[in-house]
This record gives sequence, C-alpha cells and structure tokens, in this order.
Amino acid sequence: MKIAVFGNTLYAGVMSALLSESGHFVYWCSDIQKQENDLQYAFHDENVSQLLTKQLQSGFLNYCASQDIPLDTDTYLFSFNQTQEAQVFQLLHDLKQRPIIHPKLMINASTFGLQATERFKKILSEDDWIYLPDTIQEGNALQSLTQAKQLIVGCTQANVQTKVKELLRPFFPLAQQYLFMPILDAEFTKLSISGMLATRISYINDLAVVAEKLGIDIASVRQGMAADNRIGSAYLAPGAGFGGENFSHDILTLSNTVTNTGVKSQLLAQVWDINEQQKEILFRKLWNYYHGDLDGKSVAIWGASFKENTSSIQQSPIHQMLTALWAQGVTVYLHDPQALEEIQMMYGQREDLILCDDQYNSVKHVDALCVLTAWKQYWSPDFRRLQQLMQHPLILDGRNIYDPQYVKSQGFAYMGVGR
Amino acid sequence: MTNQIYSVPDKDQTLAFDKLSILKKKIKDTHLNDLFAKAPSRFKDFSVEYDQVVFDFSKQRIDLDTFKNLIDFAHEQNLNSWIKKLFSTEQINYTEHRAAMHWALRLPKSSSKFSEINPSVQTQLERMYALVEKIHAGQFRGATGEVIQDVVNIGVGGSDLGPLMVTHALSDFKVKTAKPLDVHFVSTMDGSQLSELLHQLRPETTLFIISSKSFGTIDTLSNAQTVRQWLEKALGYNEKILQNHFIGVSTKPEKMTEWGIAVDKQLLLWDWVGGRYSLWSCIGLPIALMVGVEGFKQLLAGAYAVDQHFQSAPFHQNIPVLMGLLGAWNNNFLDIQTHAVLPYDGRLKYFAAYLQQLEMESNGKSIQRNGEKVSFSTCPIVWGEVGPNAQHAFYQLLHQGTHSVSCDFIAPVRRYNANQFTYVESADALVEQHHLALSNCLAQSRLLAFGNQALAADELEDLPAYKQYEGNQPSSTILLKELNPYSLGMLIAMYEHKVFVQSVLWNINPFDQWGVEKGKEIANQLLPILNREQEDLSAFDTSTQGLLKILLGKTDG
Repeated sequence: MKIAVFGNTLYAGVMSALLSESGHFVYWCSDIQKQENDLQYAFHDENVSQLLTKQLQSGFLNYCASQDIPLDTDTYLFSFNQTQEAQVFQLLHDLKQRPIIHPKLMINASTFGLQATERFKKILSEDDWIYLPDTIQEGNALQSLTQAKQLIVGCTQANVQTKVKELLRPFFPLAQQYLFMPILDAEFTKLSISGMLATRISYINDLAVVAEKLGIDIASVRQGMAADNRIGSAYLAPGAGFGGENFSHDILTLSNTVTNTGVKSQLLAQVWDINEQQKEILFRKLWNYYHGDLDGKSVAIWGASFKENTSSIQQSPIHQMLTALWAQGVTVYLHDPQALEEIQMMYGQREDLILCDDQYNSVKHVDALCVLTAWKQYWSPDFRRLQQLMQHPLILDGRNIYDPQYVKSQGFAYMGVGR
Repeated sequence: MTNQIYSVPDKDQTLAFDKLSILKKKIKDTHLNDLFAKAPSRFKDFSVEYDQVVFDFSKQRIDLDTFKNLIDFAHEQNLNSWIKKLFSTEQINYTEHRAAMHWALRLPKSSSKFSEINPSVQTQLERMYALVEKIHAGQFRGATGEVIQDVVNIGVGGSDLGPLMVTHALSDFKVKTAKPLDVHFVSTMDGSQLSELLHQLRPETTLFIISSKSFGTIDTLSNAQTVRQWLEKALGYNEKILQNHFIGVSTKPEKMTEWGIAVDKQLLLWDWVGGRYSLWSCIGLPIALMVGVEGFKQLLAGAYAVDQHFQSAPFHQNIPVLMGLLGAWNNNFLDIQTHAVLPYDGRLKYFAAYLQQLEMESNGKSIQRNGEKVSFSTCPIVWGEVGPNAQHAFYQLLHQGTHSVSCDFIAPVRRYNANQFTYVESADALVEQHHLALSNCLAQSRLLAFGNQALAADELEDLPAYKQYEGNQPSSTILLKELNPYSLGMLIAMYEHKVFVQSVLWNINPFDQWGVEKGKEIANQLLPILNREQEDLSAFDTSTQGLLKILLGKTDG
C-alpha cells in the first residue's frame, strides 16, 4: 500500500519505520506547513531513529512535503500532538481540495479527546475513518507497539476492518489480535488506560507517604504487591511523580470529561493533585533536612527528562524542583544525558542554574544531590568520589534506585521516597 | 449651638453659621418636593463628578442659599489651613503628640515630596509585595515544606475591619494563584471564630498574620497564643513553626521579636498611622493577598487621587468637603441624629461596620481642641446594611417611622463586565440581577425623598393614612463607575476626609480614642478575680459584685 503519515510524534515515527520495513511505501510529512521534503521530528529514541535512517536508504520510506503526497495514496495516518488540532483541520481542508478518489482509509491516531475522530470525519465525510489509540511507551517505543497482545481499533464496519488488517498484517497476523469497537469507545478506552496507570502511580505514592511516617520501606510493600498476579509490577514504583506530555494531557482530558458530564467523581482530580505534590517531594525532604534554611545553598540534580531514554522535559518534576529551589535562593547544578538542551531553551541563562555535561562535575561543593530521573548511568555511581566532591554528603533518591543500607554505609545521609 | 464655641480668627466671625441657623427654620418647613419644584436644574447644581465617582446630593434638604452658606461656614472654620496641616508632618493628633499621615501611605513611589517618610513607606510596601508574590507563586512554605494555602489574619479594630471590608468588597478581583489560596479573618477575643475555623484548616499549610499596631492588644495576642499552641500540637515544638507560620505587622519590632516573629517576617508601620486609617499600610496584607500587588497599588492610587482632589478642588466641588458639610447640616441644624449607609452591592457587606469605626471612633468626642466641652452634637450614630437586604429589615422605619434619618446610597454603575473567572459563567443572568438592584436603589431614594409624590396619581386616590408616605428624608447617592480596587480606594478616602472635615467643623481631634483605651484597662482589674487569683470584691460596685458572684459560682460547676 501507499501510506501517508502526517505528524511529528513518536507514534508517527514508529509507524513510518515499521510499515516501510514490511514493504509498504510510506510518505512521511512530519511538518505539514513546510514546503521541503525533509524531516523534523520531536522525539529522541535512538532505536527508532536508526530504523528510520535504514528505511530511508532502502527507498520504502520517503520524507515528503504535504503537497507532494501522491494522489493514489491508499491510507492516511494522522498522529499529532494535542496542541496541533487547528493544523489538522487545516490539513483536512487542504486534502479535500485535492482530486483524490474517495473513499480512502483515514486513521486518526492523535489524542484530541472524545469525538475528535468524528469531528475529522465531518470534513472528509466520504472516507473510511478509524481510530487507533497511541499507546506507545516512550523509552520502549518499537516493542511497545509490536509486542502488544491485542490492538485496540475504533472501527465497526467489516469492509474497513479488512483494510486495517491488511495494513497491519505483518505485525498482527491473527484475527484475535484485533479488538474492534466503536470509535468513541476506543477513544474513551485510550484515556481510561492512561487514567488507570496514573492512578496506580498516585496510589503507590500516597502509600509511600504513609509508609515513611510508619517506618515501613515502601520497596518491600511494592514487591509484595507485584507478586500478586492480579496486580503486577507495572506503574507501581513510588517516586517523584509521573510526567510526559501525552500521558499528563490524557489525565487532564479524562478528568475534565468526567467533570463535564456532571458526574461527581474526585478520583482523577486527586490522582493529579497527588502527583503534583509528589513532584516536589525531594524539595520538601531537603527543606526539612535543612530546617527551611536553604538560602545560598547549592544542590545538584541528576536527571531533567520526565523519564529515562528521552529528552522530553514536558511535565517533568524538574520544573517544580527548579521553581521551588530558586524561590528559596538555591543554586542548582543540573546534569542530564540528553535533556540539557531543552532545559537551556526553556530557562535560558541564569545565575542560579548551572548545566553540567559531566555528572560528577555537577556535585562539586553541593549541599545535596537529588536524583530525579532513573537514567541507567546514575544507578551505580562512584560513591567515594561523590563523598569527596560534595560539600555535604546528602543523597535524595527520587526514584528509589539505591540500596539505602549501602549508601548509608558509605557515609551518606540518604532519603528515598517512602523508605 | 452658639457661635462662640468655634475658634475662628476671622473678623466678621461666623456670619455663615448665624445665617445657617436662620436658614434652617425656612428649610425645616420646606419639603424636598418644593425644593425640586423650584429648581429644575437641581441635579446639575447639586452633583459633582470626579474621576470614577459621581456624588449626587440633590436629594439633600438644601437650597442654593444654604449651599453657599455651608461653603462659607467651612471657610470660616479655616478648613483650608486644616487641610494643609493634615497633609503635613504637624502633630495634629495633639492628645497623643502624633501626626496623622495615613495619606503618606498612598504617595506614589516616584513622589519627591516628603522624602523623609516616603522611602520607608515604599520599603515596607515592597517587602509586603515580595511576600505576596511568594505566597501567590505557591512558594511560601510551612514548617514541613508544604505550600501555604490558607492565610488567617488575626487582628481587631483597624487591623480587622478595614482589611475584612476591602477583601470582601474586592472578591471579584481575586487573582489566580499557583495553588488555591483562601484568606480568613479572626478578631473576637472569646475565640469564637478561631474555634470554628481551626478544625477546617491544616496546620501544615496555614499561615497566620498577627496584625496589631501596638502588638499589645490582648484580643489579638490571646488568639495568636491559641493558634501557636494549635500548630505546636500538630507539628511539634520547634523554631520552624515560628519561622514559617507567622507574619507580624506592627509598629513595635522589639515586641514582635520577643513574641517570636522572625525578623524577615516583620512588617512595620508607624505611630503616625491611626489604626482605623491603616489598611493602606502592611495592615492591608490580606487585601494584597486577595487582589494581588497590582490590585493593591490600584487601591492606593484611587485614594491618592482623592487626596489630590481634597487638597485642590474648590469647596463647592470638593466631594469630601461636601459630604462633611452636608452631614453637619443634617446633624447640627436639621437635628437628624442618625445616618444610614446603604450600599446596593452585596460585596460592600462590611462597609457600614467599617464606617462605624471610622466615623464614630474618630468623631465620637465631646471635648474640643481648646479643652472645652462641646455644646452641640458631634458624630451621628452611623449604621447601615446592604440596601436590598435592609429593605426587608429597617426600611419600614425610614419610610413611615417617627425618626428623621439621612442616608448615603452607594452603587456601582456596571458590574459583571470583566470576564473574571469567579462569575464569568453566569455573567448574563448576574447583570440582570445588578439592574434589579440598581432600580431598587433609585426607587428607594425617590420614595424616601418625595413620599406620596413618587407614587402614580391614580394610586393616591383614597389612599388610607397608613399607606401614605411622608417623604422628605434626605439622602446622597454615590455612583462608582464600577466597584474595583481604584474606585474603592477613592470611596474609602472620601469618607476618611469627610470625617476630617467634620472634626474641623466641630473643633475636635478625630485621631485619638481615649474612650477605647480605658475599657481595656478596667478589664485588667477584673481578670484576676475571674482567674481566682484575687478574691476581694469590695472594690467593685454592687451590680458588678452580683454578676461576678454568679460567674464564679458557675465556674465552680
């Protein structure tokens, strides 16, 4: 098939890579306002980038400006960020002007909330519209798509279902791998999945606060809960809060949807509030440690991205930490393997923010080290070197990646989340 | 009332006063209906517009002759030179040897005048603004590092009424804060408000403002002690509680330090600010927390505009001067002993209570500046309520009772017009409600002034006596373009200066309050008895002895 992919999301990248890898001809238009056939995408995932480069060379993948998409393209896939809804409407109106022979298969894979696919369908009403939820996991992008047990598809017409199956046959060959349902149901399912995951995180974080007061190690509790096969271990790690643009946006969309139906439910609002509180938790621990006297102190932070293996700082706890620390007159020495550029773009040059390319440079003469993102390179630091470099040996572990006993035995004051 | 009582340097003394005494006889027999019939241009003659305010006094019982003589009366009392004294560093509060410079609190930052005071005023305001910004940013933290989300103002009198009134009046201008923020007020010494409030608040996220000019007011300190214990019970006894949960506002830094307020949380004011004139200083912190730094600056700017108007406008167009003169005319010449303040805007709910302190604590005096007792009445009884509610309470007495009452009607022209998040969803319906309130405001002042004349002619036929309206109750109407920080600043300053004008007319000192001070002392005699530290009751009168015995018996259980 000839497939046009619109949008610069990680999902757009993954789909372009995978579909072209299996022999489809893919025309990827990442920025619909640009006139050139080049690429600009908004994610950093090495595996995906490598695969894309390979496909480009193979000839199955082409970067393409919107106006150069071939008219005989069979399938159009739209995967945009929440902020780009207006652009999508513009694009659909453009497509409507072109002499395309309808119907084509139109796939909405953007999360613009409920009824979004329906709104698109109003413009290109002759085409076959379906909704594919973007459940891709940043940091684990390719596997999270190809290894999904079942694929949720918002599509109820049998003839269209056949087209979908043909498109995705290389990854999902079996009929039972498709879970077809009405589009609205699928849209709500997508939000509900995000809501469930967020609820698990806030639940364990809420328990962590209590565990701390009772002298219980939340790590034991977590392991015990995960051992129960009804629960499992996913999204059950206490820490400095969840982030990420899409995930956070889903929770807010779902929460607003619930509110606007007039149903009196506070669960999601609480989930959100707990998480916002949690983003500051290392700050509060630091505040307590120094009895509220932080003015003039220096603090190192390891990790700015909202999770490891991405440079995205959207909704990351780093923002709350920086704001809170700066408000108290603290100078921050920040290290992150990938996200420093984005931090620099957002905050510019400041005296109280020093970006460090080397994680050990960042801890020189600081009064505390906060670990905010669980990048692999932070898991086994040279404790002796830290001890020598730091002004005061205090480690605040926002992701519970260290063994408290060991760290303490190395002469550090240690505080994790819920332990 | 005789003319000798006024200390007037002019040679043809108190000519105007004598004339007014004659004119009052004529006016007393004249109905407002006749005054209106005689002068079609009455509204034009008897209303003043300045900036965001219209002051209409055409429904007052005066004619052009009276008006002219009232103005002359003000000149005879040397009001001009008194205004100059007020706006100087002169110690016009002679019983306490202090100046009265609340106006200096609203000087613009850039003002080059009063360079000895203005910088220190600005310094304290800047410190307050920094605290406000920090609280609004969600970066002011309690002992545990959690963000402060409730602020409780503990104060009484001027440290309570002014901030409470303004905070309530400007609730539509509440600024959005990083985290939800609520401001509460606690004043009563018996702890009533505290007991109701504390169980709804979390110690971790609550900040207290201890607001006391002298930092010795027992009402405030007893409440402060209670909340300190409440915090310590929840958070443990430590330095961090004092450091992070209390802000002090006072003239006495040493007393704040002694109590335990951290130095960087102490905001200062000065002896030359009277308590009831202090909302413009850091005593206004709760206001700034509600409306933000910009809103607070607007409030000051509005008051400053009236300060300028008061000093420069000729008396016949000078709103505070006119308010003062008309009040004296009603009080001293027409024998109207009470004055009702009737805002047609629910947000001005506490305005009457605030004015009660401003007017009655200022001018409720009977010794003149020359030491002699007055032989005329001074401050009238000031009272009032939100108009539409009062219509269902005491308006009956205004319309058909036996007392003469003068009234101030206050209303904003526009409301619900700013897309503010607090009301925007129901703005259309609310605008209609505002029109309803406005039509009631006008209707009531008409009926009060004109009585039966305000009714339709066919209605009047065969009207039984008990359905008749006599009318002739004088009133002024104050219209604000809208009720916003700026116009409210103007309104309050208008009344402040009105009070000053009257104090000049009556030759009394409006800036002391010795009657209040004494009551506090006498309570100190009784407390040891109730605490059973002292048993001898013989020093007290028999009534107090009888009551004490019951109180002591009761506590025995």
